Amino acid sequence: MSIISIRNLQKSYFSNQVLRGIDLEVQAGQIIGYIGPNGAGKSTTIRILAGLDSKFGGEVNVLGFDVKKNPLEVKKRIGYIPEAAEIYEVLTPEEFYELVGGLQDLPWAVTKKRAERLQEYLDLKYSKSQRIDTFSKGMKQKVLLISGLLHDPDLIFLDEPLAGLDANSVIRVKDLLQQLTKRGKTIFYSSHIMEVVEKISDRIILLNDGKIVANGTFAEINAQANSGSLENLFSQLTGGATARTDFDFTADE
Amino acid sequence: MNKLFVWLVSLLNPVWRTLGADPKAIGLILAAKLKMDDRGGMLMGQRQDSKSGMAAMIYVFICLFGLLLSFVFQLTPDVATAVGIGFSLWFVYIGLLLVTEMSENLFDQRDLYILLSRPINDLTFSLSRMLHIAVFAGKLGLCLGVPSFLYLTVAVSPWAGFVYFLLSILTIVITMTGTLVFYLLLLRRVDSAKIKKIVGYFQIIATSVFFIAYQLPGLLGDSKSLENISLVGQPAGFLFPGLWVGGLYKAMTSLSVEPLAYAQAALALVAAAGGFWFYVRQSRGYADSLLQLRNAGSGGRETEAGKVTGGTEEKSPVRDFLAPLLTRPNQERMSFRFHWNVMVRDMTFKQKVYPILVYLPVMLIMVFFRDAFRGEEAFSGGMGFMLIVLYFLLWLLIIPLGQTKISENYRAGWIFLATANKYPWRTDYGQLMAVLGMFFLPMAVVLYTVMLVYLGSGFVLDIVLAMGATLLIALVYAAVAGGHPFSRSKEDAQFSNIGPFLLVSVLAVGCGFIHWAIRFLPHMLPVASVVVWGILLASVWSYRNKGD
Repeated sequence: MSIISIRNLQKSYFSNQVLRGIDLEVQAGQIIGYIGPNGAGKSTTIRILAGLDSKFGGEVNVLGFDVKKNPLEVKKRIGYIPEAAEIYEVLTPEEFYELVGGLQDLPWAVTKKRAERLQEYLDLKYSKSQRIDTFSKGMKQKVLLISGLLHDPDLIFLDEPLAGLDANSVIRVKDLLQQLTKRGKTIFYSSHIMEVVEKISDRIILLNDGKIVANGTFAEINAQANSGSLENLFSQLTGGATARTDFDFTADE
Repeated sequence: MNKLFVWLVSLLNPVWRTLGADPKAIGLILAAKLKMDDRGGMLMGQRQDSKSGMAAMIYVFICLFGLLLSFVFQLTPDVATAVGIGFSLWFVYIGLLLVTEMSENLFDQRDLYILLSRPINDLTFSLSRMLHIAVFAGKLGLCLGVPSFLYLTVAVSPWAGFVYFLLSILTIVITMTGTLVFYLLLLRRVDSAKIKKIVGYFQIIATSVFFIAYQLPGLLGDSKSLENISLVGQPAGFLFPGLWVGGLYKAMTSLSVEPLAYAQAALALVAAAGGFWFYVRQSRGYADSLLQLRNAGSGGRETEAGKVTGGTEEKSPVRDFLAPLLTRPNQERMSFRFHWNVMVRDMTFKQKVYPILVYLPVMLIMVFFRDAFRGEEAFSGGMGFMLIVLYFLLWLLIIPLGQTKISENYRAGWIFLATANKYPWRTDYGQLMAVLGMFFLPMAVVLYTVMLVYLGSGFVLDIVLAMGATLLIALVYAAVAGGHPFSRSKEDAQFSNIGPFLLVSVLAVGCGFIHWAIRFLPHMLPVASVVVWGILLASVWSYRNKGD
């Protein structure tokens, strides 16, 4: 059974059509890399899948629930970490976990234990009374990541999860994502870091101009274009032509 | 409107250039800032409501206030004194709004890297910020001044109206430079790690002082004492800058002017010119100071980003004592603790809400001690006034509750949209209890104690009934207000609570009136108390157990 099922998904912001009829089926236990140029509609798709936007055309089912009719059932079972999300920075991480765990109706003892384990795994260290507003960007990103996993969701949506993380943290997060899939979780994430997407994704979906232009394993997609790397493939399929060598923006002056 | 202000600012381009600023950059920054002011923020891809209609409503209210100010001309035949009193109120009103609403624009660091990576100097940067605030003050001044301007033009002379217009600008310059120079001085002299806290608490204290200043006339006497008053040209005319402007009005419109009025006029001119000169002088190093401020972080704890610091767990005995008393474990308690933590730490919230804590003591002084000041033995307020004070406690619940929907950090509210909260009313209940514990309970203890001491135990049932009704109305407000905690930007939130506020106002007035009426009926006070508390407890029970 598909964990995500999308039929003819369309979304417009006024006259600007962002998604132009997406069809997609995702099976459980995979890491899905959702890539595309800026403005292709990645974040919009993820927001719709996470039950945060009900103004769209088409049919979207997540974990067997219609996201338009049952957004609460969907939210209960998914984790969502938006891109560059803000946090209540006057709180300490523990207080923030208390808030998020409470909203998911988790007992505090469970929230606390899970948060501590995840913090240890991600090497997030701070003093007990330290508020989030004193954290670096990478530390805040780790707090966000942890808060999205506290209720042990079956499906995790991550919008640019690696933004702001240093190289060591990227390795840890990558490992964590793989650990999660071993436990049967499904990861659906967007990223602009092609090397990482190529390396860790079981399946890659390339979105361009509101449509899916490639969908499969890296080997399957590469077989279509034979471009060698995901970066080249991305460039070919999204119309990012090779750089002109004679370009001079002050030429006519 | 914005274009008009940008054009007006551009008329002074030679002045900006002479001072060493870049007029073109000033115009561009100002236009961009004003455009941004008019646009709502985004939360999870959804644009928050436009605020243009609400802003218009605010300006209508300010015009009405300006109309009230124009009645000062009816009190005294000395037009210069009336002008001076009017401008004194401008100082208080615009000064208050500058302190609470706009002065933080001076410390705004969001556009720092965008602007400072361009070739603009400190003065250009600082003047653009000041002019942005000046446009805000100008709009207020325009609304406040139109009725008085029309009155003077028609009833005195067109020249008097024109002078009033010029003096309005002068008053705004004095108010602005007087307020903003203080902030610039802080920025230059105080350690950047401490400045936000100092400014925050200064704003809280200033708002409280302004409020008390507003209430003082009511405390000291009535408008009769202003009849035939003449201050301009007298030694008392030196007391307040507004009266100096009155002196300048007299000097510009009258042929028979007292020497003291000339001195007051000169003082007004010196205050404006000196204030502006001092502002320009203090602008040196403005950008550097702001950069340091940005690096200092936004919280009370000054640590280098990313560094682990030592420290003990933040303890709040009152919070920890009240939480289990007022809430059930999990969502209610989580919400209680979350709201309590944010309410004691978020400076914007403190600035908006903490000053209301002075309302009650000031009212108590007015009600209970005014008679003592006047040497009257009997309490002159009457039972009606007493009930007003009792029901006034409601606002100590409603105002903080309204503010718990608003935050500078409103984008963090995405968490309430993204999580599966099956029982949002439990969050609302925790919110209500946190506000109740922090604001209502301490003030209720003070008020009820003072009332019982002053009026005796015969007033107990009134207190019981008023308390029940107040809590019931607060519960109604919590149920109808809606919205997630701290998830609206303060710019977009103006008047957003107007519907629930109106409902609460009507209910409060209705309850107060019924309370007053049933005091005349035998045995009705205990009956009403039982009924109200019965409804309250049943409502609380059903609210908390909804969906179980």
